[in-house]
Amino acid sequence: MVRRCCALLLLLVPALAFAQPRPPAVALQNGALTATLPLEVLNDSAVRKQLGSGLTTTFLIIAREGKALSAARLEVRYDLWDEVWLVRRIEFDRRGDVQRVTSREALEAWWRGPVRLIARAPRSRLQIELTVLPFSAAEEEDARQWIAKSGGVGTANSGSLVDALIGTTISAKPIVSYRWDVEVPAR
Amino acid sequence: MKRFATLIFVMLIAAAALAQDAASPRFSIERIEVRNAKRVSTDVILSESGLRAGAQYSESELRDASLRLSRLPFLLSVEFSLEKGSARGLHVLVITVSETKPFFYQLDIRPVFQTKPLLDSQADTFTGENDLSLGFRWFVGRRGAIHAGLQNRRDHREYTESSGALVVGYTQYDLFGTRAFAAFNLKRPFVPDDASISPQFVAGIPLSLNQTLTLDYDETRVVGSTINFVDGPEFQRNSTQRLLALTWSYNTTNQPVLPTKGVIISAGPVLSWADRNFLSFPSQNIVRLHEHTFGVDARAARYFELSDRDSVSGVVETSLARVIRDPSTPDLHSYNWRFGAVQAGYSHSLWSHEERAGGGDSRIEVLLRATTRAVDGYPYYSNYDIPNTAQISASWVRRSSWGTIRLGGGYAW
Repeated sequence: MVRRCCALLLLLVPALAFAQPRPPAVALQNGALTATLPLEVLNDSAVRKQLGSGLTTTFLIIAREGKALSAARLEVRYDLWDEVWLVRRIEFDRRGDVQRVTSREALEAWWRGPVRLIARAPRSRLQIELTVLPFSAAEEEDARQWIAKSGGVGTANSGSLVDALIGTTISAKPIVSYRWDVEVPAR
Repeated sequence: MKRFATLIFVMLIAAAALAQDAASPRFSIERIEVRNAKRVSTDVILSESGLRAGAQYSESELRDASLRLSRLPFLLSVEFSLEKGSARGLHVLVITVSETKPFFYQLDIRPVFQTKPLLDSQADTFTGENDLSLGFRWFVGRRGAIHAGLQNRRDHREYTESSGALVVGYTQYDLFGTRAFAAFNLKRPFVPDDASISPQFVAGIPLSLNQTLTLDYDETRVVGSTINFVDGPEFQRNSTQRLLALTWSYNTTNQPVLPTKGVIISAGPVLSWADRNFLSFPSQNIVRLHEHTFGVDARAARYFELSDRDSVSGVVETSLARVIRDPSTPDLHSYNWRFGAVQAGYSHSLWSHEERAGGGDSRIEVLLRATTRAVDGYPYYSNYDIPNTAQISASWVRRSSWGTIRLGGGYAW
């Protein structure tokens, strides 16, 4: 009986270890902290299903260091008729790019590109949250501009915070979410 | 902190005023297919989505439609996806639903302990939310549903009488090709006296995709047994209450029972007429009292998701009413009634995303609530109740395809 339990545990432990994807790889580039999301997220069955829906899948990345908050987001939509992936990356300072990628391999290559997440290097550890949402956050742009024009929140960091708020205000049930504690590499 | 609070406040306002983005993609929907609907009528789902084949929709419009469907009490979860249509650029919108069971229940047991005044002394009491509803719902035809069950309807209005009832009714959806609906119920209230069967009529007219105007007419007739007093009059207690409420509501929440995101605002006038007779003591005169009331109810709630599992909420509600009594006597005279409440809530899901994927949930809720009530010109009121109350309660809530159970308790002071 004990042996059976031990065998079961041995089987379960690796399974549990694989349940959560490995943490994003973080690095310092030109003074900013970048994160590269693990490919397991893109290959998660629920995420794959949503990616195949023909509607946008939003990946909202929020970094927390104590009370400080920064955010970036990725958006992916498969165009059913053109059979291309329309991808969009919006980094912490709202800089980003829009691309059309023609294959799953190209999508994975784009996914492996680092996302600039925080303007400066954090002290030691930070927490990274990834929430995968159905539908696009792009249509909330008007709200962002409206907020920025409302005064008092138009600073560089607030843009990132607004993005985080917009992302989390998308009124759709998240598909999946992850949270990692990440060690920041030495400068 | 102040800046963050300002930002949140601005965000809340902006969320309500979101405009459509012209730059976002629009999808030409050639056909809409509802999948996995076993009992629920697909026509009802299509009607409630507010979408129609042959139109173009942006993602935000599809997302709003998904939310509208998620708020329906007979759907547990909804997923949207696109498939290729018959010609280039055309799409088939696939709505995959997960239904609730035809048998449903809602159990809410949250006793709240409170020490209240009782004339010149104090009494320990248990009040709070204790509601039970259970029944069956059958979809008939393309746009109709018959329901039967037990309903324990309570409201906070002190000028109306609420009681449980056995209810049988029919709802017609998609009236006149719009999202309008009408429900007609026959109910038999559970009261100590004999009750007669009373009608209830509810009609909802959509003003926009998230705004609805609801008309509710509810009548309760109670005919009591006859009492013969020795050397006194023959007395039969009876009462009739008719309630007419017109409510405008704006709803962007993500769920009907356990919302974690969105706004719900409702407001509207309430008219009530009540006739009741009773025996006054010691004179043993039969008094026939007629009350008519004009009131206004308003409520606003905002739910905000802090993380995958945590959400907070804020609720503000108020009611005002003028109760006119005929005949007006020194003991039973006309009065103004005022009610206000502020509530803050925190909710934490005990389940992961994967466990909640099917639409069920298990949450812990903590609520802080402050209420104030005032009755002008009613001197005995404060002898029996506390006008200003603060309350803290905690409960466990479980939602499944069968219904919702909320168990908890609280303390009020």
